[in-house]
Amino acid sequence: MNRKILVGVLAIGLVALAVGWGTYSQFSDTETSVTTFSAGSLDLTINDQNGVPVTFSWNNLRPGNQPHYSLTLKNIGTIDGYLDISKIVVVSEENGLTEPEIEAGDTSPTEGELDDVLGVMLFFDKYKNDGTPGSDGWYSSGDVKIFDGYVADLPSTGFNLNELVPAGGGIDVVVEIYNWWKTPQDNQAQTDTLSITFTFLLSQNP
Amino acid sequence: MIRKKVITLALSTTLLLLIINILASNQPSASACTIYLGKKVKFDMELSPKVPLFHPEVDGYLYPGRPKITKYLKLINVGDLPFRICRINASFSGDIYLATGLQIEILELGKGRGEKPNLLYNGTLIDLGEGINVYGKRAVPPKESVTLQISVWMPATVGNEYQGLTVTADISITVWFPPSHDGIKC
Repeated sequence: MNRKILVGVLAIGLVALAVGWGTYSQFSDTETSVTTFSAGSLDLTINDQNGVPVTFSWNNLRPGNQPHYSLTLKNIGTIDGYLDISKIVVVSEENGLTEPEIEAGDTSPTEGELDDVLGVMLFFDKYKNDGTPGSDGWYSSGDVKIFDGYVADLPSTGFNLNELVPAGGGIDVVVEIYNWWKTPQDNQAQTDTLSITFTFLLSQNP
Repeated sequence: MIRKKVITLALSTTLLLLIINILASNQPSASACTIYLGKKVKFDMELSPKVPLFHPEVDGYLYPGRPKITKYLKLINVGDLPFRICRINASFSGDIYLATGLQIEILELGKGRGEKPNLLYNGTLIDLGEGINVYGKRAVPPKESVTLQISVWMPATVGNEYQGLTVTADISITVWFPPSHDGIKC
């Protein structure tokens, strides 16, 4: 009798084991795929300066002067970028009224007039004077003009240029040529000071 | 007295069998050959391609708003039992922060034309680091395969904080047997 009970209990246990095994057991396999992702970069330098304002200054400017500056803009990032001038700030200061300024009709004690008499031409310097590709600092056939007018008329919002500058060292040269041709208001600009700040923006979308 | 001994022995035996049962269920069930129903069977899966699925030298750099980069990963059943996808997880090295700015979508493609793909995961890459349990739609028989469509992109809303970062993600896919949906977690 006892043996029967024992056999019965063992049988139940074995059945439980089999059912349990079927319920709980599972096989699994894991395999791995290696992936690498890199985010691109956009990094603009001006005359090889990065994150530092590039400054030019010209003293004792007078009618007939034609200072000009070349800005070499380089994309040292890893993705192509589009160049714009996103902001222009012009600060014109009077620096006091001299006798010639007053005689010329200058009555404003704080507002300078140099921006009214000084012209500026901005362009992408893509070709030299002999027609070959490259920059020579002067406006030639094939160069792309951005602006040609008086400094006072420069838009504070800049210029939407959409100029493609390729990744990995793509270069564009922007030249600023200032012209002070003779005007009847020239004397009003004596001793005046003018500061012009161009902000260039390199962005991924045109 | 004897009857009491028998009952004690029986209970002990049952308890022992149950313990063995529980221990067996907790064994790490690797892909190695396993005894199943008295027959030696293999449970094994391979990935194709074996080369890195995504790489900047092939795919270029990611940037905000760039169209999705889509690749296909085939899971081939090289064993003797059917399987079903049950878990996906990733481990990272390098600039892990980049994984917070990348989105990844993993679809299990259907077998034939017109069969709707099964979305397994859609979210940030970094969240795959914790691993997610998924339920594959198809039970893949031996010698057959299932294809995953994996798309990665950088949303247009992310900013300069991700510029120049590189992250390596080892994406692991786990398949399991039995291939039925019975609620057991893999």
